[in-house]
Amino acid sequence: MEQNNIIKMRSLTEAMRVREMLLRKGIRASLIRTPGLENGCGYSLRIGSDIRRAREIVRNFRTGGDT
Amino acid sequence: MIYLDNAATTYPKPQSVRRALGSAAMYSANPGRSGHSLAMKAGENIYSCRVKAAEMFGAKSPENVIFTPGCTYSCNMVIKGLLKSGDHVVVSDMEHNAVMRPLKAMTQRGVTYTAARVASDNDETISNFREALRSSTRLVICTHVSNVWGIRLPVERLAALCRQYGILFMTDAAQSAGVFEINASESGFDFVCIPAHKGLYGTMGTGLLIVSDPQLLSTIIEGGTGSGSISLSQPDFPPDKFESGTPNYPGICALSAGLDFVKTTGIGRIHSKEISLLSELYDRLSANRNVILYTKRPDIRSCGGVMSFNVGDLGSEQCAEYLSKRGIAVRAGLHCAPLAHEHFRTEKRGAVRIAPSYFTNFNEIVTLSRVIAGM
Repeated sequence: MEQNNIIKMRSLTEAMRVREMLLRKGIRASLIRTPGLENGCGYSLRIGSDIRRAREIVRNFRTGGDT
Repeated sequence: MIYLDNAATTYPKPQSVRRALGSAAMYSANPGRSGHSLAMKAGENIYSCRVKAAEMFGAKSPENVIFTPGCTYSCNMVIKGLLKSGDHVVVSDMEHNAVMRPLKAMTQRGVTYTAARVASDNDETISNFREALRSSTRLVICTHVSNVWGIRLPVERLAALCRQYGILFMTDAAQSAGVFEINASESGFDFVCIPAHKGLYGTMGTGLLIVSDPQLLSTIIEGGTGSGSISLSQPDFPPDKFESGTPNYPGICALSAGLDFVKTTGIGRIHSKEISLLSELYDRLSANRNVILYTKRPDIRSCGGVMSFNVGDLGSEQCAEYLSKRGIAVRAGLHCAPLAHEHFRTEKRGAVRIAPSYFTNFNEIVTLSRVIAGM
């Protein structure tokens, strides 16, 4: 579940890939450990700005729409 | 020492690889487990290597690149992760035991296989594979370059054949990665198994599996991945699905430097040099009546950087020992590829294998040929 400006990632690899992709689209993101342990350990991206657009991009990426 | 056993592992390694290995051993933390700077840096280095490998081998994305403990492990992941009872497999008659042994083990679980004969003519080889196919054929496995004879097999055409029949295709690129251009996506390779420590100039204990559709494979090992750890179920998404436990971080850093080396040097240049050295050796050995050669003169289109021969009535191990005492390192015997030896009827005596690398020089080949002439 996404909170504020944080988007949870499935894995470190996904986090790094999505971070690169967001940067290409002009959105800065920093890699952090996921706050809370609802799903156990993991990594998230803290989005610098335009969180809505970032979430849409990530959603699109996860459904195979954007690489 | 004149080191000509690069088909076993390349030596020496480029300075950049040695530096990367040393650096990783001194300054590293477990990647993908913690949030401190050392761990994050390690994670970045792993990801960087994954991206480089994806680019070099035409993987759809970095997630389609799986780090493994080696090429043999990659082969096992495919054979044991894919095949079920009733499945049939077609292999070439040149396969290494990295393919044959897990396949043989799978026959205990109801998998069958047929070895298709590799011919001197590629059209005939393709035809032999086609004739071996059955309605139950699930997978075709073919080594890209024979680790004994250096013969390049028509894997791209075989992959195309498999696509026609809806069959999956795996290639063992142990002797071709870093020597021939490989593009998994363009060539339609469903699985490519690659060692880090041969043509990619990395270190032993690391390998790659390039997989077109990770959902095709079940896991053969489960464990901690640093992701979704509240669940006792293995993640079902790559690469985490296939990368349980702490990765070989120093090995992956070395591989990363090796990939850079190969890219900077140029695959074509590396291959060209190896073929040039082998051609020189072939010509010299051809003039020696005691030497038995089994293949045609190496050429860049149809051969990798490997060649084997025998001398007179000597056993291959005797010959290798003779060379070793004179400071020349080669490998003799069956090279973990009994089928390849059966192909040329050398299964009783084996053969002496010569495998140069980019770091081998002309004088070393001349010295080798003179020492053999003195036998």
